[in-house]
Amino acid sequence: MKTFNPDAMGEKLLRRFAGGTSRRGILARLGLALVAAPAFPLLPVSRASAAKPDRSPEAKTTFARNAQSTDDTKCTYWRYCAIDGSLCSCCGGAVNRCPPGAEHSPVSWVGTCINPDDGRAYLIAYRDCCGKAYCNKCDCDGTDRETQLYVPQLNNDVIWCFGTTSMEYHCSTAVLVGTA
Amino acid sequence: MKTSAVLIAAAALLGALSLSTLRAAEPDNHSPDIPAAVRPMMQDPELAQSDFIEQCAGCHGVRGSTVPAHLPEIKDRVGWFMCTPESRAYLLRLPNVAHSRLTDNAQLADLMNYVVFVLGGKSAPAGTKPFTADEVTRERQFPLTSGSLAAERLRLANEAIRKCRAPASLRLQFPGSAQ
Repeated sequence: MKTFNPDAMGEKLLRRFAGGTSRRGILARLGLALVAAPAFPLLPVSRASAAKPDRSPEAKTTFARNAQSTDDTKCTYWRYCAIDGSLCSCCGGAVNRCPPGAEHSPVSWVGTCINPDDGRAYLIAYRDCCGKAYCNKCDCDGTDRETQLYVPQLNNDVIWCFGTTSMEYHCSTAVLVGTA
Repeated sequence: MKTSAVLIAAAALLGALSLSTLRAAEPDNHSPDIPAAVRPMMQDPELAQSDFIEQCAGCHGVRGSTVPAHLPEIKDRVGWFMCTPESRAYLLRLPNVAHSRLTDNAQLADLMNYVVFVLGGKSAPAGTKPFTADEVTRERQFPLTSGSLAAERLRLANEAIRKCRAPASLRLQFPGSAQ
C-alpha cells in the first residue's frame, strides 16, 4: 500500500466538491448576472463628458499656465497654444494679418486657447499666409488639443494653403473667431 | 445682495467689452447674427454657433463660405438639400457629420439646424421642419463612407433643382466654380 496517493487525494477532493455544490447553481447565478447587468448603466454615475470644462490652474495645460497676453511676437502669447510655424507678427505682418505680398488662406484649423486675462476659452483660427518663401522667424509649435495626422482637421502639421493661388507656406496667424 | 448684482453686471460688461475690443481689430471673423425667428429651432443657439466654429468653420468658414477653396459653399444654399427626405438624410450622413466628435445627438441636431437655418439663410424650402435628436440618432448610423460623395451630391442637387426649383448653380461647389 502506498503511503502517499495523489490520485486518491484528488479524487476525494473533487468528489467532496461535487457533492457540496450544485451544477444548476452556476446557471442561476450566471442568469442573474445577465439580467441584472443592463440595470447598472442606468444608475447615476458621474460622467467626465457631462461635466463643465475645468478651467482651474491645475487643469490647464503647461502652455496655458505660462501664457501671457502682452507680447504677440513670443511663442508664449496665449493665442499661440496650437500654432505650428513662423509667427506672422515676426515676419512683417500681425497676429491676425499677413505680411505684404502673402495671401491669407480662407481655410484653417481651429484651436481652443485660454486667455489669461479673463480665464475664458476662445476659438482661434490658425490661418496660414501663403505665396511667399518660408519666413523661418519665431518658429513656434503649440500642441494644445492637437490630434494625430489622420484627423487632419485637428492637426497643425498640415499646411493650410488651400484656396490660395500658391501652396507655398510663409507664416501663420491666429485669428479670434469665437468664444468656446 | 445689491453689491453682488452690481458685481455680476460689471463682470458681464467687462467680459463683453474685452471680447468686443479683442474682436474690433480682427479681419473676417464675424459669425452671423442668429435671427429671432430661427432661435426656437435650437435648444442652445449659442452653443450651436460655437460648436460650428470649433468643428466645421476651419474649412467651411465662420459664415459658411471659403470661396475659392474647393469646398461646397454652405452660405445661402445648403437649405436646398432639405428638399427631399433623402437629401435631408444626406446632410446627416456626410462622414464628418455622422462621425462627428459630438456624441450628444440633440447637440448635433442643434449644430445642423444652425447650418441649415442660420448659415443657409432663406434657402430651405418654406415649411421645412428642423432636425431632431431622434432623426440624427437614426441617420448617423449610416455614414456615406462608400461610393463617391461628389456623385451623390450631384444626384441630390439635380433632384432639388427639379423638385424644389433650386438654382442650377447648386450642382457646383459654389456659384462660378469649375467643379
